[in-house]
Amino acid sequence: MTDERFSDRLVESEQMSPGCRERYEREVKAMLETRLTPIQRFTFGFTALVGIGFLVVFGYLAIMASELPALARGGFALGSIFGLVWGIVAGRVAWKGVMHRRNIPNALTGMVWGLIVFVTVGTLLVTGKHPDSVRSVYMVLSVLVYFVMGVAFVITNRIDQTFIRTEEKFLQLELKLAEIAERIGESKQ
Amino acid sequence: MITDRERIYNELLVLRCRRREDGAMEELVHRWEKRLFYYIRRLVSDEEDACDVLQETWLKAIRGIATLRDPGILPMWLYRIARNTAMSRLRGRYADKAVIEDEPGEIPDNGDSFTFEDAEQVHYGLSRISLPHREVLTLYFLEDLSVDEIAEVLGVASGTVKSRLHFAKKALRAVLEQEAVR
Repeated sequence: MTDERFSDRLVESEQMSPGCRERYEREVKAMLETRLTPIQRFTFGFTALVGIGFLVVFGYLAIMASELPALARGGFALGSIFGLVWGIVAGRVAWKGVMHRRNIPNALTGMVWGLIVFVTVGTLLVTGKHPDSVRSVYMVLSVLVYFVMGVAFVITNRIDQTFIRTEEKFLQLELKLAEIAERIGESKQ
Repeated sequence: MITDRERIYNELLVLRCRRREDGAMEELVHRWEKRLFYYIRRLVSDEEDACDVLQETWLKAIRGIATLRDPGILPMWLYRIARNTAMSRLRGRYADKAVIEDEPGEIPDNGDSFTFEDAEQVHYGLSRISLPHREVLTLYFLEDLSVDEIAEVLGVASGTVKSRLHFAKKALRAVLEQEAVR
């Protein structure tokens, strides 16, 4: 609330006592971010290292293991991307020592997607070498169900984010127009 | 009432929160905490309790903002959360008192000519009138909501809000006039 209105003056009549304010600010800050304990921080750091390990090993196999079929190498490539995502997200949390509530769902979307791709590719690789073809088909079908669900989840999330951004652009334009209208109104007075 | 610029800015803020932009939630809290605290404080007499209600309001808002599909209703949504939180915390103490016999629907035309300009006087006066009158008048003076939106927050019909506002203003005027005579 930028302009001084009656309501602004009224609101200023009620001030939180310093003790109450201090407690309130501490609590609200805690709501917005979860400070990690040393053990949690270590765990995130370790997870980041494991992620980087996946990136290196799977990346190496994807590039260097030329004797493997293309599908397997593709799976390793995706696995390395998955490791990279884990490494970045977990490393960032470990580095900062806090986990923001608002960031979790975005990271979660990436993690879920990565996990699904990883499991799908892994299963496809295993079924390719499985001697029982009927069982292989069952495995492929069941993993594809999860894959389709994952795709639907990611697409829904992307549509939602795109919709929000589009709406935001329109509102930014509307805000500019409202500011111009206000300025014109002020200059007329 | 709230200006167009403020309304649009609030809507943008909701979208930024839904997009989980860095700092958006903090800005939302900073922008609305004083107004919500003022409202809650009019419902809850103890400051510590009011502080707890405000914290709980933010907790619910942080959890629920992603599901707020219409950004335009942000003020109403926040006041409603604050009210419901205060109500559930003070159930028994508050809820019983809040049930009042609504005044008759007929509102005389000449009743609202009195203007309230001194914020400190109004602030004092609000503490001297009944809780239901205080609540409706606080929402009115905070200038964030239309009559229909106040009705939504209070869970009553718009006509009831108008009638309650009329009698609340009358009660406040009486208190201030009485104070002026002293």
